[in-house]
Amino acid sequence: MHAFLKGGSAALERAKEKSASSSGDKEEPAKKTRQVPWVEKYRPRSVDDVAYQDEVVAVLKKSLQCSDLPNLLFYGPPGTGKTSTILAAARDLFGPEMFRNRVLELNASDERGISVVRDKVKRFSQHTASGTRPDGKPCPPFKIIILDEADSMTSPAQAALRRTMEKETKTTRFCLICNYVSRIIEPIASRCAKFRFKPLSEETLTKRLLGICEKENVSCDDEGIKALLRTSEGDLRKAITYLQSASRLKVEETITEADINEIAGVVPDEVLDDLIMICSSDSYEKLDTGLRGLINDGYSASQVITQLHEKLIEKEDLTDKQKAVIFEKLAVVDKCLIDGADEYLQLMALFTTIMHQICHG
Amino acid sequence: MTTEAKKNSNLPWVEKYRPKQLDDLISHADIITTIDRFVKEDRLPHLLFYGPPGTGKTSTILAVAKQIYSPKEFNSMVLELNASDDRGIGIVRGQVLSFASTRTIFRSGFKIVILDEADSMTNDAQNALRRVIEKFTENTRFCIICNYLSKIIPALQSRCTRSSVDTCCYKAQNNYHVLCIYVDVLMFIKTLACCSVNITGDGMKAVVTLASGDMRRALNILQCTHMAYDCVSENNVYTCVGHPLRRDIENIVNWVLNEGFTVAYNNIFDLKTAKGLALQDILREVHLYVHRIDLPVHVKMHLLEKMADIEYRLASGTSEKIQLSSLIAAFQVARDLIVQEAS
Repeated sequence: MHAFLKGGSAALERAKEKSASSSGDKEEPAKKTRQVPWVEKYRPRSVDDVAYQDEVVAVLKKSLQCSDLPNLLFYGPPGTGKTSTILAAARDLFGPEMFRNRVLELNASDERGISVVRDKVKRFSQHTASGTRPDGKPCPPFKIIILDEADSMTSPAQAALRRTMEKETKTTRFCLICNYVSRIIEPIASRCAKFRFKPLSEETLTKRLLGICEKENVSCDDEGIKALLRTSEGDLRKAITYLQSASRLKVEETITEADINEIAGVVPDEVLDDLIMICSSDSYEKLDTGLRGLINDGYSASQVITQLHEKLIEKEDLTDKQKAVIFEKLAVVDKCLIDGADEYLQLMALFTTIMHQICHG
Repeated sequence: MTTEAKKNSNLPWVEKYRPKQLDDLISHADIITTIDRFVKEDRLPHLLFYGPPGTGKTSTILAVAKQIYSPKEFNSMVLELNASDDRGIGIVRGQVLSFASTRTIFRSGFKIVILDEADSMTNDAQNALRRVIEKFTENTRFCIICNYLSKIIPALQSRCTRSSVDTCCYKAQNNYHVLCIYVDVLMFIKTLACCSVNITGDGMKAVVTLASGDMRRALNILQCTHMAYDCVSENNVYTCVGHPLRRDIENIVNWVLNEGFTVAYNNIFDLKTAKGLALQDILREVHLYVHRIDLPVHVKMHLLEKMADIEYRLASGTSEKIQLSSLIAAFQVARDLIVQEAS
């Protein structure tokens, strides 16, 4: 019944109302869970649930035992569990009722200029925390300030954090979370224990995804899971989001590779093969038409170059020298696209380089 | 167990082992002895400390202040302002000026104003300080601490030296060099004795290399590794901070110099995923390695330039895979250059 209620289409809703008059009491909780994105629903609740990041988990577990925690700096690609880990650790340390008083979470959506660091953060860090819970059980005598997405903090604001971090260590621990550690100023990085979060391994991802499939009663074949692994590149959040979107798309049916590819916006292999073929024909007109077609189909340029990269690496009829020139250009185009350059111009530049290398290299 | 020890038990090691007095400080022997003499003769000049993070600048001046004043006097005699306090021109004119210009009734001698992280002070505020420093020399000593000397206006720099000419200070402007490795190791052994860490010889070396002269980072790495693993060995230290091992780097350089493009890419990519390494770390280590290989000058120039480009592109968040192939491409071109040279 539960799986049945998960169905999204209106026809199913109607069918359900007809078929099960007694489901009135069951309907409420089902509706509630449906609104929660799976990413939130399956966020790790305790440190033990955190997948794959063994070193951090070991350190945090030890700190749970003896409530001895250094200042932390988590960095790594998105979707590897940075925020989840520290939230889970804080929940384990303080329990749900103390969580609110003991944890200050600031992310990029909050204002975090130098004035906020001086006022809000400093004031919060100066409060003393007692070593006992309201019910008399012992708990760690410090608070945690989580600065999420710290790489988007201005450097004066980061500079203002420095002494605060040291002076208030008796009562406060800081946890900074960022994607690019190079954007954290050196004095801050030196004050923290740095942990890199690795992209998740395929086994871990598979295990998690299959677990979710089972709990949500979604069927997904092996090829589908593989497609998820390929498109998510170690980003669990992305994988779960794709899975959820796919499950809405294919109600009550098995999710296949094609569904995932469609949701992830993967460019079909034939399209790319065609383009590479065109490149070897040495005709700018054809290339121009081909590229315009590609962009009009709505494929994103960054997706195109990621896949093109995979294809060219394995391509055997290019010499290493040609590859060197092409991949150098590819890297430059990638950077330009990140900076917000025009997709058509960049792709044209890339493909003409490839054309030149294939025909005249 | 005393209450003191209990209270400190959950402090991070960085704070737990912060030097309490001048004698605890390590390295910088010349600086410490000079300051020690000043303190004993009771004629401290204005001080300007600068140097990279984690070398003990703040610790030194705090230790000095603790030595001069009793804990009771500490609050009334020392004004510590850091970047977390508002330090615009208004504060310099108000708070600093009033602190510097007043005397305490119960104690003769000077007060100390510590301006920590002074490189983040605005130029206006620094300008406003100039006369304050000179005018109240009798009453107050200033200690300016910063990472980058160039961010302190010359007028202030000269005051911190010149004002101390008569007090025979040629060393008031002190550079905190990166800590010497051996002193670091000695300090470790001392630290370890206190908290019984199980550490191996190569583990110690690994911590020292990774810290690159930053005491604070060394302690942080050590604490993490100690918490994560039972034994602090080289392997554990590197895995804990997610840093590529030396032989991984050797392998990578071997592959890019001797294997074909596809093979090199696949090998490095497999290693990268298996160990969870970041391309940025790999790049930094390979960069060091390239310095040591014997290559023709223009080939080396090409490589270093390309690697700097890749690092820049990585820093703005491009795909690691694509930048990895660009790294291999750079080495491929270098190989061609060497072949050309030979023929």
